[in-house]
Amino acid sequence: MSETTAAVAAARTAAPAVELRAISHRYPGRRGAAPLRSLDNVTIEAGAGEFVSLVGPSGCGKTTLLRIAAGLLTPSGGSARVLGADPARRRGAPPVGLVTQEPGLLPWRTAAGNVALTHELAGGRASRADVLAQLGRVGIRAFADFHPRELSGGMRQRVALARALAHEPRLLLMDEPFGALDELSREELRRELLRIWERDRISVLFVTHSIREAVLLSDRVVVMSPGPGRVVANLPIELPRPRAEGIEETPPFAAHVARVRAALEDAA
Amino acid sequence: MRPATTSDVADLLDGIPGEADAGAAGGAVSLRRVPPPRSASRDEADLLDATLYVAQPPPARGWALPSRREVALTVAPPLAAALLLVLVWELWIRVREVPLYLAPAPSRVIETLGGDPARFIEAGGVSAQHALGGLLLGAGSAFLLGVLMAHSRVIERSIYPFAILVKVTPIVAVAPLIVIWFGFGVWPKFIVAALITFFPMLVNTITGLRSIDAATHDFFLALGASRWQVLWRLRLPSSLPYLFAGLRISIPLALIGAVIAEWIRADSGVGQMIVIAHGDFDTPTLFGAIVVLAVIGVALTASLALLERRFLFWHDSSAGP
Repeated sequence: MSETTAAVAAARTAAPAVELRAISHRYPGRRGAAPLRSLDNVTIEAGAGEFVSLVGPSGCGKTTLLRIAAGLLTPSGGSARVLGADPARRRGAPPVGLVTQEPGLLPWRTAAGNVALTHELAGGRASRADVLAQLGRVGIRAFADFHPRELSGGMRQRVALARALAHEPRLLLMDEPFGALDELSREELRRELLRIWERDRISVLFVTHSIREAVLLSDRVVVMSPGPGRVVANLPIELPRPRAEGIEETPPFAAHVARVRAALEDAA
Repeated sequence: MRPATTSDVADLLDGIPGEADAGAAGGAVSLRRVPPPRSASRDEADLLDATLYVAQPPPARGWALPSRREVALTVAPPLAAALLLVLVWELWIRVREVPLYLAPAPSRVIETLGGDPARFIEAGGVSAQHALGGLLLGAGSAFLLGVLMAHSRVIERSIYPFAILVKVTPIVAVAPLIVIWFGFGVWPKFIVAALITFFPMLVNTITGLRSIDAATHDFFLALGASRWQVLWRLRLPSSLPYLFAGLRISIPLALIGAVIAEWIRADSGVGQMIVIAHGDFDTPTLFGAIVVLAVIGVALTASLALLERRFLFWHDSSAGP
């Protein structure tokens, strides 16, 4: 136990992976309507090697926040730094992996080809052995030569995860990655992600609707409220790592879930 | 941006980059160092066994021709219907004693086709060349322009009205002018065929290049992909179903364009054959010309279907017949 806590402590003292300071964002209103205020003065930080979840009802701007961190959106106000750089202005392939609710795989490529895409975009080339090893990391090596349409939803999302991890990113951005899956696949993939994270300790910013998912996976849960999006609570999850099988049935887990739920209800 | 190589083209659809290179070099060629797995035992074991979860094997793909049974099932019913039609037609002509200058019996048409097949084959060959040349010119320029227009709204707005102008102007009204300007050679035929195929290809190219999956696009952008990478690895392959749809519309149009141009002035081709036969009330030759055009159209469309099989295996449209 002491070894892991020391590693986590050391990681936290390093430069934060994600620093979103006083972020505000508004979407332009349609046909002269007032602009929609999506985020209002939101500050979120994720340390190096830290797993941070954003929880909140629909419309609280958590996806917007993640898109800002991914460099897909430029905020109207505030400053965003991801791995020490402005995400909207960096050059070349950043060491960041993105997993969204829809896997967004290339349908004309096999699972292996989709993982190889990351290497191509990151400016390198990988051998088939490398790609197979990366598929093996998420348990789908046997499906390397299958096309996405031949895979189940859960396996497609595994390919998306392997693709996001292929270039050994230092930060993983995940936007409800398991939201479109059935309960069994979701459960499996949570465990898979937990296993990968506990081994590799990369920083993760994780958007989810599910309180239990957030508590199970995270070091810290950030609770947001809508209209416009604000941070209402910042709750550390003090459950031991690695999170054991069956931890969801323990009283401390239930207590954490209750705290997050209470924070959400206070906000509403 | 680096220039595209042939292996890039193979990579684009085949997935693993440099598969062929790696094989040639006798194993793994890696420019990127991938760290060794940290818990090998767990990594080696797959969570899921392919044979357990997936009933169907990956579909065969490649240049393989459709199976004989598949061909028979596709070709037999229309062939039977055509045979029946020809039979009724033959009977009708014989029973009603229809004069030859009005309509020939199928037997007469076959006789004419068989009497001097070289004449029909030559005319058909010339027209096919005119149509293909026009298709290449029209579809090619529409594609290049479409790539530009899909990337820039300004270019799109400045060119689109002219594209519509080309579309709404009846080709038979423009064709004589083009023939006057460009004379007897192949160019007036190419240009008329190109004009008629231009618009469907342009629209399909623009729509195709814009019809990309949002989540995939986000992934590209999050990895800092350049416009060139997005175009080459995402937009172009995504547009293939639309490009093929455009070509399917354009092939018969190109044939029409070629025949119209030949009709106006030519020393060879099916169009010229039709004009001469028309003057002579030579209905068997007229019908023979129609048969030749139909054969060319079917052959070109079938070749396209074969290309589609190879390149659109991943698309829903390829699941159907």
